Amino acid sequence: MASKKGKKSKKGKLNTKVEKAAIEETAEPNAAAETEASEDSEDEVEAAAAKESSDEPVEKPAKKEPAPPSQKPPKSKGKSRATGGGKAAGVLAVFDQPGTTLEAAKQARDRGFEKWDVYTPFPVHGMDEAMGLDRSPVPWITFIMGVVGFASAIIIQFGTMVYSWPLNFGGKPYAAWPSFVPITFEMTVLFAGVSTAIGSLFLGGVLKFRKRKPHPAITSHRFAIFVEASDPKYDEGKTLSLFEQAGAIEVRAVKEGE
Amino acid sequence: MKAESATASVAYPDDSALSGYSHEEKGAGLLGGPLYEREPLVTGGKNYKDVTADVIGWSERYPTRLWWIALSISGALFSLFLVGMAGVVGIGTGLLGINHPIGWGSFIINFVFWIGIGHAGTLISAILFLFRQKWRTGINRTAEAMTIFAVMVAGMFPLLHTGRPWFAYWLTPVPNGRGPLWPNFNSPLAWDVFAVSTYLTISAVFWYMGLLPDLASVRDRARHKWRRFIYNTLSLGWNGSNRTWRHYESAYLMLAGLSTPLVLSVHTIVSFDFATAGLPGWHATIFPPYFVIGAIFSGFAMVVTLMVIMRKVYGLEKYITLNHLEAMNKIIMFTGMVVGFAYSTEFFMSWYSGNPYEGFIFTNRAFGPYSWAYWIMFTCNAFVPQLFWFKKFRRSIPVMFAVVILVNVGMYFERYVIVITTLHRDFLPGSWGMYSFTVFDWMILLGSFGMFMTFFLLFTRAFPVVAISEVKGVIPPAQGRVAAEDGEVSHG
Repeated sequence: MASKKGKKSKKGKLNTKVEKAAIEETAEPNAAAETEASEDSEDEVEAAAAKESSDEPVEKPAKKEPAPPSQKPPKSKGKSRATGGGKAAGVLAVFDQPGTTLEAAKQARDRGFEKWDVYTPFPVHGMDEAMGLDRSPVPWITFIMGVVGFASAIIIQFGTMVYSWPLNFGGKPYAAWPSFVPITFEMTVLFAGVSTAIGSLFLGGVLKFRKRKPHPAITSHRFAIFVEASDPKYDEGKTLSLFEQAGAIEVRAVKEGE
Repeated sequence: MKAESATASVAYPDDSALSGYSHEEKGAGLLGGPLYEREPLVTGGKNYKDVTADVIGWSERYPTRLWWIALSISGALFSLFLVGMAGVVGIGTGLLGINHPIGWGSFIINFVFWIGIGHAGTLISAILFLFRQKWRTGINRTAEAMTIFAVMVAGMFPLLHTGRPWFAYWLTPVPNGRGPLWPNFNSPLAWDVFAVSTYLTISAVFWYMGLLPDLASVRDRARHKWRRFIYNTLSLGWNGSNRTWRHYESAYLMLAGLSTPLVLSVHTIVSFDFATAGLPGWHATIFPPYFVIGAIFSGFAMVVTLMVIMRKVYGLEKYITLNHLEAMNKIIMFTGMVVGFAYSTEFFMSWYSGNPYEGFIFTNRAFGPYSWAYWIMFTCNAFVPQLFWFKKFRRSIPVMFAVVILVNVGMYFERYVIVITTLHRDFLPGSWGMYSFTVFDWMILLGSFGMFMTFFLLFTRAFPVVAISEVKGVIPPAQGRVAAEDGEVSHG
């Protein structure tokens, strides 16, 4: 961790020409980047993570995997990374407000990127459209599992009360469906609710532990867009300038394993 | 989204600057009319970073002396609960005040009371979410936690009530070697098992879903290795990706839609415990709505009780403002009137039905040996909340605290009245009896508060007590924006 911080601030000096233009608010000395650079160890295991930002769990052609050994050593030298560093992982653009992020996302969408993602501390209204994402299939999970819960409750109650061991309660019918309504409702809600939660986390990739966490302040106050280098339309220079013009407060090319 | 700097025109430095009315700007609206702007939900001009820091900061510091004192009192009461339970399980339910005509005593009273408390949380997070009530963001996390702990406490009582809790699994339809012999699904007790366990599960799932982004915020601020490890595990792989938010928001809406009827169903089913019995005073079709509205009433009273203390102790006055409290007080007043209406309707129906047993039970309630309990109930629930007609009282912390405490007391006595007065005078005067608390009843009652408060205090230390990501969503972007700090550079 500690050694990493040192590295990062040095790297900063090399690419400054790229981001100077992007920074409108302030001119920042590179040193203080350390405070924000305290990314956790997960990023270091990120060789395979490039594929993760697209939400299909499809295995991507192993574009980056072949070279895991070459990732660590160049990092440890810091200065040499401009020429010989790790493979490019993608471009990171950091924003300070949802509005500019939304506009930048629209431009990125229009550029035709596929392997990219927007990271926000809270859900930003309209971001799905801006990213060109369609409706989430989660309601289907809710519906189907609700039907399953409904059916299980019916099977359990009629099965036990009518077929397995019918008992006579005050001469009432065995198939006393009105008294099965409460449990049928509860089981429907239980199945649907629990599967909705698990299903949405699965679809959203939250259940995968090794994920790209591009910037440590995303869960606090920063918004970010990350375009993976594995994207077919990826072009480092053009992508950098796209986000510079879109008003990012920080734009940089990220190396693999960083 | 474009003209962000134009919004947030009025500065509200702190809570006391709020009036509770919309801010009027003459000539700024359509066709030169006035423009009404609601007061902000978060005062003090907090930005996104402040929200994270204010809410999580508390759990990063060493607990205060006040917290330790509160925890030791709650812990002591909790151990009293454990001792009481040990007695009741080890020796028997005869240690309690229950006797021949009054077979349902403090277990059932406490069960209904705590389940009722547990209704506000999911109401706030689900129903107010569907109604787009944005003020819920400040209070929903705590209310949901309160719900879960209240339902956990409530769930203890039916188990103990069975007398032999180690056979409680007989209530579930597990295949067994006794026939197989199944639970009787015609029985409200079996319905209760499903209703309460579903409610607990779904509330916990809902709560955890809401917590996930905030746990990630805690993780990203954590310095200590262990703290980071724990919150990293709890927050799963949350990274704030919009591809995650897309499914997350959809799931949240689905859960809200599912929880809304669930909230209404749980206390409905609890009321069936009474209403399906053939006893006068219980056998009434008004019971489901009457119980549900009473549950919401008592739940909100408990939320306000906890919020008034918590916002002060945890310095959250800028997030849980007087406007939030006033909104809850309005709900308390409304539900209190519905509850009062239900009490009156019961009386009317006992006369209108012409049933002499019904008539007797209600006369006995109001003027019999338990009339003291009845009038405590009626005063606290139907009359006291009427104070909230006055805006001054709705926005006064001491007044609202006194009112909600009285409402909590009143709602306890509502369940006391329903359970005891119906049972203590049967159809035959030969089987009449009286009910009074024993030491063990007191231990169970006070101890249940201890269990609830212990869990709640631990929750306030371990998890973000305000839904950080949701509050950020209701802050105007111009206010929330954090400018690039000196030195926060592109290091590439």
